[in-house]
Amino acid sequence: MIPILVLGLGNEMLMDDAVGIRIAEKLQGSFPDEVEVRSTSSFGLALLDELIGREKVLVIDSYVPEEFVGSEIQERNLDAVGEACGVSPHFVGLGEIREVMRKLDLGFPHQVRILAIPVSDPTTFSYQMTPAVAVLVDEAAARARRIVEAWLLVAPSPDFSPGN
Amino acid sequence: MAQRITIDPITRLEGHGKIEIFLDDAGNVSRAYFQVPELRGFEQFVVGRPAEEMPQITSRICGVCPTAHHMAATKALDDLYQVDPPPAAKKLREMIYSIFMLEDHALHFYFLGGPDFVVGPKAPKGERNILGVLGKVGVEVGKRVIAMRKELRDLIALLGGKVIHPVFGLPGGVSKPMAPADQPKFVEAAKRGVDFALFTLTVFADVVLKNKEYVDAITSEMYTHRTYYMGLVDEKNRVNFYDGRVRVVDPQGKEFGVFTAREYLDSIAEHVEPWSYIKFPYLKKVGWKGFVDGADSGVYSVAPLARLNASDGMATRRANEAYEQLFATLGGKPVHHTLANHWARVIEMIYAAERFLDLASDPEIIDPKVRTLPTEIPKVGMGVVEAPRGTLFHHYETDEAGLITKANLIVATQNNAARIALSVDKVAKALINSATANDDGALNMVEMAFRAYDPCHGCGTHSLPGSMPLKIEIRDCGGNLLREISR
Repeated sequence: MIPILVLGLGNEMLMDDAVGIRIAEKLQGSFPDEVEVRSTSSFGLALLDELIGREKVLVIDSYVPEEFVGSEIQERNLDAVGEACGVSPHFVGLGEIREVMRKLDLGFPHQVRILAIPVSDPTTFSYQMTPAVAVLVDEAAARARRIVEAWLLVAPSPDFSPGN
Repeated sequence: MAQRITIDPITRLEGHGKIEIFLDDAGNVSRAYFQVPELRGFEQFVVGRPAEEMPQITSRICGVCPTAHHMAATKALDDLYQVDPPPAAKKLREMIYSIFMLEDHALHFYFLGGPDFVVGPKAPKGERNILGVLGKVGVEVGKRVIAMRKELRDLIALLGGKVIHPVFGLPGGVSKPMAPADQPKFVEAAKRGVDFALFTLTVFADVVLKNKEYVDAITSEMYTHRTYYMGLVDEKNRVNFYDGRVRVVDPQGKEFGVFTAREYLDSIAEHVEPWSYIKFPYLKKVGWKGFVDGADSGVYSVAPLARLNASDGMATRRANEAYEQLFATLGGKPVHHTLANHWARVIEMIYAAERFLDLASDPEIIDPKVRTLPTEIPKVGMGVVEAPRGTLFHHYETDEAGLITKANLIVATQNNAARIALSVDKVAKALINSATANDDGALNMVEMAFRAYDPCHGCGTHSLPGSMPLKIEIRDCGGNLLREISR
């Protein structure tokens, strides 16, 4: 299993919800073989399949700020997302997946970082993102590159097992 | 003072839903509403798109049941272009579909409905979740569920290209044949699937059927509605997920009607309420009489229990044995107890696995001829499959160039919408009053009424990974917030 995963989340036909996928597309071909770039519309428990066997994961997803104007791209560690509260397999977040993977000894990644992109409208059916969100793709891709390049400077954790 | 209790959004439900419970001045429930507050507009969005894109576009409606939409759309395209796929293509489609049904039902049984029955409806709220289920069934079973699900999804991806948005179905066939070298992988996985499904039936028997409290809940009057039932059946009236005719039985279990996908508009009409964006389909020949059950009301049900009620049996041996046992235990056909859907779902897991094995072992399934090229000018196409949550209709109309001019989708949860509304109202009236309005267990039992249907209003919209909250608001008759409960 390739140790570093860049995972763009979203739905490409729900306007701004596509932003994670578009950033992942932008990043294709940017990294050496130790990095895999993927995108998916999966959510909830299905994300577990993406995480198994990875050492480091960068998740790129959208968030809806209270006010879009003035909101910025945010970087968060998984711990900042919150503890597991586990009410739904379809709406479980990474916190719950971490708990499930640990409980089942499935090898949760050593590091999970989240790049959160502010969006304006992630529910209307459209293949076009709003212009104000579309212009964030380049900036977000650059930040994603910096995160992954920093990871690549660090040797893999000695207890990382790619066969997990 | 009259009160209003809001459960919004509903936990463990795909997509957004909301329950509002209104208390009268005496503190009892006057009416409970199951609402879908989001407007999706999907049918309008696809107007002008090429029809052949529909299997890919509709599978993006949500990330939960893409294969069902993909297959219903593919069958509608067969009809639109008047083309009959070769036998191997039909078998490959049905095999992929059986794998999907097995995987999806397993997810629901262990993780969506599991917190209600495996952990228990009155367990502390902190345990009624996926981690609570793992604690109850044990780590080894949890690992087995996760591994089985992953293996099934990988097989769908092997044939379909992608598990979440398959690129498989085409008008007149499928995109690629099965490589002969891959066939043993499918056969071996299918055998493990049969073992897994039979094991799940054992889990259900041990955890649920041996627990008198759970059995009493299943058969209780508050979870019972005497309605019509609908499901796809084969030529012998046995359950079929992929193809056949739609059969409807009345509340006594007698055949009420049988129709093809092309005839669905003769049998189904849709009622609209001002308080929800979801439409309420009903049987046209009976008519809309409001949110009531009985033979005089056109309210009907789909989903696993409805499929079993609408059929004369299962087409595979062990699934049929389990089918007979369910009806023998619960007093014969039809079974009107909503919570028996969980049992029916396990029986369908066995059928899906056995059918998967039959098809994977079929020598014809590796035939390289998997496409009949369409030659007819498109006009109207309709397709139907049984989604995990019930009967799913796709209906497209196009211009001569094959561009969509009209689309109509009736999804499983719509078919069940009126009965779900009945269920929520009935359970709320039985359990909720001003004294229990803060009782988390009682509110969870209201939610159980609709979770048994495995409803899906899938939106596929993501927010920053995190959990979906449950919020309960209690308001007075003036709309003032009296109490707010979050978990």
